[in-house]
Amino acid sequence: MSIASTSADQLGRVTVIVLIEGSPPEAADAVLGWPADVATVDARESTWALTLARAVRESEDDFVAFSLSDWSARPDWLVRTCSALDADPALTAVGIHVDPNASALPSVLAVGFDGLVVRRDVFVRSGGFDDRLGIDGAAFDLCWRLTILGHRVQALPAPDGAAPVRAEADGGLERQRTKLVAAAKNLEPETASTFLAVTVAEEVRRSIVRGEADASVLDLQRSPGGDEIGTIALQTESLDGARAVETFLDHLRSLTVSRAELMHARRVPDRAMLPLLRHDLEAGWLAADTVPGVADVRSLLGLERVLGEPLRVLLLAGATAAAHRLARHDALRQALGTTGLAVRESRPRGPGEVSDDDVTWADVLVVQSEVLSDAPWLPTVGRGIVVLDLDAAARTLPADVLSGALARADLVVCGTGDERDFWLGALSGVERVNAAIYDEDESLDALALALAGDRPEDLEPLVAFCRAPRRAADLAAADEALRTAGTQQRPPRPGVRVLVREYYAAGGLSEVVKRASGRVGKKVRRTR
Amino acid sequence: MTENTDPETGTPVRSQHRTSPHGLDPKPVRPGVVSVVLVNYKGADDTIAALRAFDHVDWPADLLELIVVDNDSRDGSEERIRAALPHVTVVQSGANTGFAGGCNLGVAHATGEYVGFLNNDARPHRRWIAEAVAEMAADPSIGAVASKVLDWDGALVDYVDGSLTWYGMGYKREAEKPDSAEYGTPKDVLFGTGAAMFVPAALYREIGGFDERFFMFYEDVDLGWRLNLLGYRVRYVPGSLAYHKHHVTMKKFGNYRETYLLERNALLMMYKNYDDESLSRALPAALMLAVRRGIARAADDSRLPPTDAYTERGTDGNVEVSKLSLTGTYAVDYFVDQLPSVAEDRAWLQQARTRSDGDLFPLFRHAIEPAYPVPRYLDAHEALVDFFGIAERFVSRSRILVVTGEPLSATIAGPAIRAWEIAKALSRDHDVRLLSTAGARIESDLFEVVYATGSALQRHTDWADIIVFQGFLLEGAPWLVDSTKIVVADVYDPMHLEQLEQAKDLGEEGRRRQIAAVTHVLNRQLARADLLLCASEKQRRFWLGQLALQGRPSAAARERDPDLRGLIDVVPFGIQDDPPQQRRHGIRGAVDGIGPDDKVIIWGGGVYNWFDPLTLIRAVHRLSKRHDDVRLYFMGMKHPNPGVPDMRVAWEAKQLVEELGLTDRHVFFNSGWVPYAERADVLMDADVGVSTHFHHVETEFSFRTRILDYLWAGLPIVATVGDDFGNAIGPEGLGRAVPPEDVDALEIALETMLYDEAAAAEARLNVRAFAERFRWATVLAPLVSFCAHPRRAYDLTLQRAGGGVVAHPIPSPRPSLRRDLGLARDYLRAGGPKELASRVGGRLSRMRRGL
Repeated sequence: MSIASTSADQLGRVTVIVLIEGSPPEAADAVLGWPADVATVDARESTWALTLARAVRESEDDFVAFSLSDWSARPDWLVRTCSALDADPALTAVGIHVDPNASALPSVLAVGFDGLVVRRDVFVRSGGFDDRLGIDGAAFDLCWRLTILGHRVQALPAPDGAAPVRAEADGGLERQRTKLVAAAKNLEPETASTFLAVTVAEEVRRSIVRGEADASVLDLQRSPGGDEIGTIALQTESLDGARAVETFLDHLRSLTVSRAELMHARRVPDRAMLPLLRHDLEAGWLAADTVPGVADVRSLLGLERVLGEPLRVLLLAGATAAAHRLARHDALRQALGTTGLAVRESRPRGPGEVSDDDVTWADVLVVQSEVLSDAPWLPTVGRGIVVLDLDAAARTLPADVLSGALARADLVVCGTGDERDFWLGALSGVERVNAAIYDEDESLDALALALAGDRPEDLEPLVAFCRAPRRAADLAAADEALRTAGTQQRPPRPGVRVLVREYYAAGGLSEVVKRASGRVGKKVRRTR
Repeated sequence: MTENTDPETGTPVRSQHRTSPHGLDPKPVRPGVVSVVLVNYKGADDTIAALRAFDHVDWPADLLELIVVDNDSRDGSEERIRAALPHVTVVQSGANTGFAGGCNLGVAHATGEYVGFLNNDARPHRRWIAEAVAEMAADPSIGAVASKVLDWDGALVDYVDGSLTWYGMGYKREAEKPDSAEYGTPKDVLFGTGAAMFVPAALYREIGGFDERFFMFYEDVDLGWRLNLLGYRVRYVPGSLAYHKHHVTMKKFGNYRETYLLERNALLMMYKNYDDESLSRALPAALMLAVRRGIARAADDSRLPPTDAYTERGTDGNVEVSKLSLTGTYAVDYFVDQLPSVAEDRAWLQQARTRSDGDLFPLFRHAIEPAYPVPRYLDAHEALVDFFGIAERFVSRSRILVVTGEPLSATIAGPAIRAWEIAKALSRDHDVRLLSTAGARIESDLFEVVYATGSALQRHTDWADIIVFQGFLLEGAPWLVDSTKIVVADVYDPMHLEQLEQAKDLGEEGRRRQIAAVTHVLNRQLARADLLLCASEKQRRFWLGQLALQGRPSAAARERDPDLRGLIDVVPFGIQDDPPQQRRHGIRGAVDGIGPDDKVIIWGGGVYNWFDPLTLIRAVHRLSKRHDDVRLYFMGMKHPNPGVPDMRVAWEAKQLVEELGLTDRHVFFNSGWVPYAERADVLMDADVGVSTHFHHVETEFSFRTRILDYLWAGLPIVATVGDDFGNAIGPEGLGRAVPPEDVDALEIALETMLYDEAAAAEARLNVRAFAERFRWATVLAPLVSFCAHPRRAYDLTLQRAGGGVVAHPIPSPRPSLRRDLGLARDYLRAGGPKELASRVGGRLSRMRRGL
């Protein structure tokens, strides 16, 4: 589609936000010629993300686009991206993949900051850019976050005349910091541990090698010699790995809070998106040069294994279930067997006869209703996404058992359309038919689905869900705006005691008195 | 260029020696011979002094081999040592391979059955070898002996136990404290110090000896950790003593070099030894913490240039930073460097290990220990511990609250005694608080004793990881039911069975309600407890029946734990560990009418309705007709807990004694209660212990603690059959068992035990042997073991997620003048005014820095 054929109405729905990053406002002229609303924000502001978020909120358009002032894409980029978003309501963000060789990718973890176009309401609800990061890192982090919140990010080939990736002006320090910060927030704890260990090990080594530092200088084997000299001169980049760790640690407390919020809100389990992460590590924004010694780190510290793990599905059927129900269970197992997913099954014979190892192992639990009479609590434990497979007999389960299970189900499947009517009524009774569910899928098929039969081909919608599972929109608290996952509203205020200690360490009591103002001053004056 | 550099590139040659999978070369050993290895690096004077000290060691010269490895000193050390001590084997390493490499080379030349390691700046006490060898020879499960090490003067501690932080830093918590008697007890430890320790030579070779990649520092920690993982014990033996001039070797080098070695070796050690789960949490955190530690410590050191270079990257090519600030960062690099070879060791060790990390965490002592008091570092430590869930995993000690509804006073009775002994046993490995909801008037050196009721209880339950309780706690602290705390219910007393009799005074409806209420209380405990304790196998069968009706155990729980010991186990009442000691006569000569040579039958507890003192009194009455010297003494008619009512049968007993004319002639009642600590005075005045009861469900399922007192005092026992003890008397030969209410049988049994000296002597002998099974230390083993690996009940966690214990940092001692004066006295004694002044200076400096 060319700019000439685009109607003014269409183009009016996007606001372009230009970061002028120290250059005068007229530097935005290159993009001011775009047929869209344009706002400028100075990236040097310490709260750049906050300022930018304000500009987004003030926009009344459907989409927001971002670029630095020196980005030289042709205006038809907006037409392409907005058209893509228009065509696919499930698509949330479109941008340029950092790999110049990549063709259009329907689903990626990250695209560049320049030319990134996002649905405005989603940008606002998901917390926006994280100002603990620089702009490139923040764009990457935002796309990662959008992905775990169940959104899809698409990469289009770079428009003519636009650099697909910004040169690393800082030699990779921003990428190193981002890797740590974004992983800590966006990965589930188990994956995060491995990823962070590998990242620290790799990046510290990479910086030392790139900075040509001799890391054996502290070895005792080198002694004696030079011990009276307490310092050493290095190329600045050899410390980048350590700098990245330092920054990360400075943010760790707030990141812990952000992670907790995100884990509560996330809809897609790690294992469903690890292929995207792997792709990014290899060809995306996270890709970095290989230096001696780092080649084995990923496999030796277990990251290769973690990145290659398939999604895990646990199938639970009642041991006393009717033959056709067991046949369905078998058919599902058979159908999943060809998908490459890891599948375990269990047929509990009595109360609670389910291994907690299995329950905590699973990303997805498919629970046949016969299990509920013995283990009514089953859908409510573990971190897995829960599919309830209800047969007609499940109607006679005790009300509290049913309501507990329905309240926790991410997807309900049943046998016929008539049964689906019944179960939609039941779901409505426990307030599962709500705005969040409806807004995502007005047919409510994403919540309750009738399967045509028990043959493997009938079970295809269920298999498809297991391959791309997601937490129900209302259960993931997705209707609430995230408060700490992205833009930090204000820098944390250090406590009075911390400030006094800091001043005291800097210059003793006189320094405390000199610098005492505001809260500290009040406190000091009171105690004197 | 230094000695160990690549001649072409000039880079240091780092050792790639591994600690497994094939170990060091095996060789035959000479039985009984001890080979002592010392490593010398430019320290000939110290080395010669250390070797000469062996002239005074209590160990046969022909069973002693002294080996010195000279680590390429090139200062004439080798020649001087050879000349001074021609009987010593001197091995030239040809390169400085560090302490680890030197020791391994020494062991390669050793011929002894045992190898001992001694720093060259240390000297042995004359019993250093003998005490260690005796221990290893007696117990093949001992993989190493950790010697006690004091400073050169023997005043201050160098090593008496090893501690390890979660990030792999070994430390000696007691170092530089004045030596004291509390360090005189042998125990299992995680590691000994390489300054003075022993290992069986074959084992040392088999497991690969010290890891030479460490060069020096922590190779000893790593070896001890490895031995423990492989199922061996590292035994601290205080009699094996050495004296050490600490850090003579390192004083030659810059401090940053030592710090760097510690940092990198900690990372290697963690990676090798932790299981996957521990490593997954600890490694990322430890790598980051190492970087921060170096930088923060350098920033904290005012002698070094500022470390701004780490906050933002400058644009002009070069930056000057302190070497100390690089120690953590370069340690990470060394870790990456060594990763491929260490990974092989890890694979082998993790496959060969026989003990879990959870088994070893208690030996870490306090794993949550940041160790360096630098604020920026401490901030990072705290944030990392929180982020990676470190405290939930690395639990060395748990906080245990033991709750009793009985008053804790000098006259404590059964339940309170049990709670006290539980607290005592658990306090060896955990922080324990003993709480009474009925008052506490006694104290303990081993644990805190507190009194609380109502909402005040919550402060204590919040504090605890594990709560062990008797009685009605869940009613007083209902928040525990839905909490994730680990709850151990001690149901040694089937209270509802007791109520069948005890509640008779409440009228028909009152009695019904009382029994139902107590049953409800117990059901609630059974439904919530993560572990239940009962007093006998018979009780256990009974409780399993009642548990079943609470839906427990679930089928899955039963499958995991088929004998269900993980849900309910037997912890009988125990016998105190100290033997009884009579300080004065409690009966003979103390009670009017009972003389020194009379035959005394003792009734060792209260008189309740399910007991049958009446048949006993009748039997004594008959016996008194043939034996004028027979005496029956009722030890306590008044229970110390005012909640226990006086009972009808007690009144009837007194009436019957009166009727038969036995009062204060043959039968005597103590109207009060004998204090717990004075039981021996009374029991040891008796010839026979007696316990008679009706055929009654309470007596069938109860556990007669008075019988334990008889066992403790070594008394022959005469008792009614029916309960666990009564049924054991016959088969075990503890005395005589009689049917309920059978006066004839009882009369004969008493007469035999009182007047047939051979029969009584045999019973006494059997009683002593039988009693050993009931030492508190033995009977509490299931609980001690549970608390070593505490966990929520499987079927409960599936219903209510979460819960478990967490590690707590070592609390700072509260400021106390008494404690400070004690310390001042100890330091003065250890090092005179100079030592004291140095300590005071250190404290003031820390206070100035707000730490």
